[in-house]
Amino acid sequence: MSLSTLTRPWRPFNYGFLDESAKREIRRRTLKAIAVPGYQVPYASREVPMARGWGTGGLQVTLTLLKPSAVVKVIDQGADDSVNAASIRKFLRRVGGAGETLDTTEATLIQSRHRIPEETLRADQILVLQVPDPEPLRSVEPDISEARYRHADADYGLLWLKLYEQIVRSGRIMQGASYPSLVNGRHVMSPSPIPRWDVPKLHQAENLTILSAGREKRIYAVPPHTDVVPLVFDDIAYRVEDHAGIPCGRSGVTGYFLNELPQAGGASLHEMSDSHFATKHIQKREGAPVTLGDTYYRNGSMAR
Amino acid sequence: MDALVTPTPEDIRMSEAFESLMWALARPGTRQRLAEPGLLPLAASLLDRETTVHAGDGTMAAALAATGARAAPLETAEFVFTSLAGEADAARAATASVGDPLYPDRAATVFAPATFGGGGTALRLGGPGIRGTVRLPVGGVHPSFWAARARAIRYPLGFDLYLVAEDEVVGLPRSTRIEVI
Repeated sequence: MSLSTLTRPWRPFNYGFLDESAKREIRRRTLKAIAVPGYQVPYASREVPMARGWGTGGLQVTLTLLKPSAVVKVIDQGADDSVNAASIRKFLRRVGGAGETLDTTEATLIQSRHRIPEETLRADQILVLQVPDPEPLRSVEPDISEARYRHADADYGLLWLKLYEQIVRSGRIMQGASYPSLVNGRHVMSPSPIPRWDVPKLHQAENLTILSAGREKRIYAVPPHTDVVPLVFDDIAYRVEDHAGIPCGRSGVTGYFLNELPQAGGASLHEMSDSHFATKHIQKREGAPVTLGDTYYRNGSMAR
Repeated sequence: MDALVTPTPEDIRMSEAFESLMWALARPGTRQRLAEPGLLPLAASLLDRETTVHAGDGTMAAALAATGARAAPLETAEFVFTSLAGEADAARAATASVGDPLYPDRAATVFAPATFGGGGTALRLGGPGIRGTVRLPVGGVHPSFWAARARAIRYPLGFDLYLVAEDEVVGLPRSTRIEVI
């Protein structure tokens, strides 16, 4: 065994930016994450040319899965055109030669920050979610070693207590994004800061979802056809954002998740958060040949 | 197209090997095609100096040593390559590491040869990655192995298994419930 047999000829760059040992680490950890849905697998998170907290976890998974035939869509809070999303897309193109798209139905690999697209993901697509804080117990158990014991014991009592206190104090659940959800009946995970609207899209999905936190060095996954159930009391139903009846100010379409844009004078405008889905509706109305995919929600409620 | 780097044939081999493992584990019981037959490309996509490995036979052990992975006893190795054909082998393989309650991810990943042509034991599988249940005939694995696996696994503790035929792989993660029919 010598170093020369373990190393490769020098190249200025490895394909997909990450070196092979980094990729093997992500591969090994990803497989363990798939084997235990919702359990946070520690991994050796590498440096990427982007600051921690800007999607470095998602990026490392995407880079590991990259291949020239991949078609990548990058979502930042529903939009494809933020500086962060556009920069990540450009980076993936330059280090991977991957195709790019804004259209959910054309993508094979979707890296997203804080949203799951409105169009239903298929079995041949992988969703990679960027995760700022993977630990659902953080707010009730700040010591991560203690939190690990609680996951080992499946002891989520403090989370139930937190939700109960919200109902007692405020009359409703105040947890908006990152709604704690039970995966495969065993591990509670944070689904990343997606709105409550998006959590049901993970339940018994067709696609594989990989969640990765670069700064916190944790990777976890939701395989296809896996139960993901938000923590709710039997007598108080899970409620999603009440956006069903409000039209999108850009496209006029109703029934999807919206961004609220405060206006001077106290009024507000609403725009569909999945910005390219709104664009497709506009293009279709103008007669362009676009395909609108099936959606998780029909008329503001889950189709399943 | 302003790509700065193109993949080498080796890059493509490793990425294809891993993808077949990933889909095998994400959809247990489905037969994923391998771009390249055999266990070694699969091993090369995962193993390096940071991992420990146990191989049932000497030829395999020598081939795996080339990855840089350190040899370890079956009970502690992160990766186990073994036959499940004989009763003794099957019983031994079921003693692979199942991780510990704080770190279930420290469990072993077991690779074993098998056939899916119809002979052998018929299994009914359920769990994450499977819509309802799926049937899978498995040959080349001793029938006693399935009961030994069930005894060893206490979800989320348990080892994850890949069965590899000539050019196909089937993944059976610890989350998969297996019923012998």
